[in-house]
Amino acid sequence: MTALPRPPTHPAHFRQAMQVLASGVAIVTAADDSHMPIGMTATSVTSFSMDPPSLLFCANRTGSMAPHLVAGRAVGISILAGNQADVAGAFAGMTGLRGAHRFASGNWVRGSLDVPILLGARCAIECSIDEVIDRYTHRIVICLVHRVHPGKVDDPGLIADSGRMSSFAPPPLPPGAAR
Amino acid sequence: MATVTKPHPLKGPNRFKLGIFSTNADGGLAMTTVEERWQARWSDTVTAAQIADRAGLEFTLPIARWCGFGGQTHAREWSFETFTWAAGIAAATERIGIFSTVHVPLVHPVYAAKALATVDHISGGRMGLNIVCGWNPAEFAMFGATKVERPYDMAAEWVRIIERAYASPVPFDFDAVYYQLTSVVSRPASLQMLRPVSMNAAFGDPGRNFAAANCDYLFSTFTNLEDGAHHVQDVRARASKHGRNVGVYTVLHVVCRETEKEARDYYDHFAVEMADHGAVDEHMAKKKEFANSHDDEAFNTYRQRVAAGEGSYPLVGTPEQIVAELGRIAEQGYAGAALSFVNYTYELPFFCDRVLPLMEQAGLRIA
Repeated sequence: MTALPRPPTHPAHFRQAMQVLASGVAIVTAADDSHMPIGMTATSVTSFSMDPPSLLFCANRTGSMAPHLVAGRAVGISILAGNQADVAGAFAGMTGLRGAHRFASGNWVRGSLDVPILLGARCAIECSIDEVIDRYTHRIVICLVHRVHPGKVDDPGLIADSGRMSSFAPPPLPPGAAR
Repeated sequence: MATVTKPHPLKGPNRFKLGIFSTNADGGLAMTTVEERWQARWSDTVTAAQIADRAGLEFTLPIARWCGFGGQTHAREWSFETFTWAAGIAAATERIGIFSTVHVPLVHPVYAAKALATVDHISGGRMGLNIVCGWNPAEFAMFGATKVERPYDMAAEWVRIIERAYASPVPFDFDAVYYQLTSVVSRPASLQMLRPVSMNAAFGDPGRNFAAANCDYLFSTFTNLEDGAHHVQDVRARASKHGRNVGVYTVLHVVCRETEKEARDYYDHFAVEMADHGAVDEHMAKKKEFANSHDDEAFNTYRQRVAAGEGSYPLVGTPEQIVAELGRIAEQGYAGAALSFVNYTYELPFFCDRVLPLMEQAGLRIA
């Protein structure tokens, strides 16, 4: 079987396709080389494996965050509730604030691994980075889960869809259904 | 490590937040000789904090005084130091936010970092810092402290050191204009990140620019409501240059009674007839704008406000009148107020029972 040729690039079509893949929104937090907190908004957080509990996300290698996402370091993943679009905006750079100044948006407290976790989020997860893989423009960050902080799990989630963020509540369970 | 599950009370849902101010010092904010004047014994200040805590008020804010205003009562000479006071209040309350009021030139940032973190842990993330940069010659002479040229530049370094001390698990050096520190480490760090919430009170350009860049809240007094709106707009404009939001609060002295006549009569009784005139004179001697206007109605009004609440804005009347006035203050853009009473433990229960439900009806508070 012969390998397929490298696919032709249609960036606009590809972007359009990915924009309609609705996804949850999270803030990934870590520390820079002087140990000051840093964070970015991510729609790429994905469950990876159950054994060991692990997840992955991707960061643009030219972004300010990527150099600090290296094996052995701690990261916090705060999964946003529907009313936290302003925090997502701040950590996506919409307010112009950079570095630790972004943490003025949202109510942040210290997790057990010293990384910031967001109060009012649906859930926060503390991880250590197990491995990073640089591929194309992005860094794939594979994380081992150390601790899960359940938060506002019953609140609507913040969903990125078609280039916009919106609050989305799952429909109520039918009577008698188990969670 | 303890996991904090609730945001700091000042980040809670109420549109207009409330706190009590200066319960750690004798007289509270008043300079009066009435028998029921605030004595600020430890049991007094704890009881006031507990009443406010159970009523759902957002914060208790102490003043930092090292010497008093003199007068017959030696006003404010008796005051509890605010880090140790905050530690005690934190242990005696459950949900109210607690501040320490700290003079930057008198307290080393490495000491402040550790004390602040200690109370943040005692309180489960309810601690806050009121950063004071002003220069009071009489008080600073007690410390043999030397006046600095640019106190707010010093304060900016001071805050950076605290933030870095919390962030860094390994020792770091700090070398700037005001501080040269070697191998700084401070554990535990605060539970709140980057640090406990912070506020300051400032009118001038350097102070307001410092707050805009470094603080979460700014306290500003006003003489009349129209001026109040200008202060809010000014602070918002400065903060937005930094991409930040700074909540603007004010200070109000309260006399709340069943009838307007009772409230007015008591206001005149404690703050005119029974004012501690010596202390008021000493306080006003610094207010040069009033020095040559002794017959002026504005002067007398201001003098009464100084005796009642160190020049803050009055909230005098029935519960209904007070809520209407609070509504007007909220409309100017204020996010909340620190309140003073002649006697907090006598007067807070009536205020909380009668004013808070009306504030809910008025849409100023939801809980």
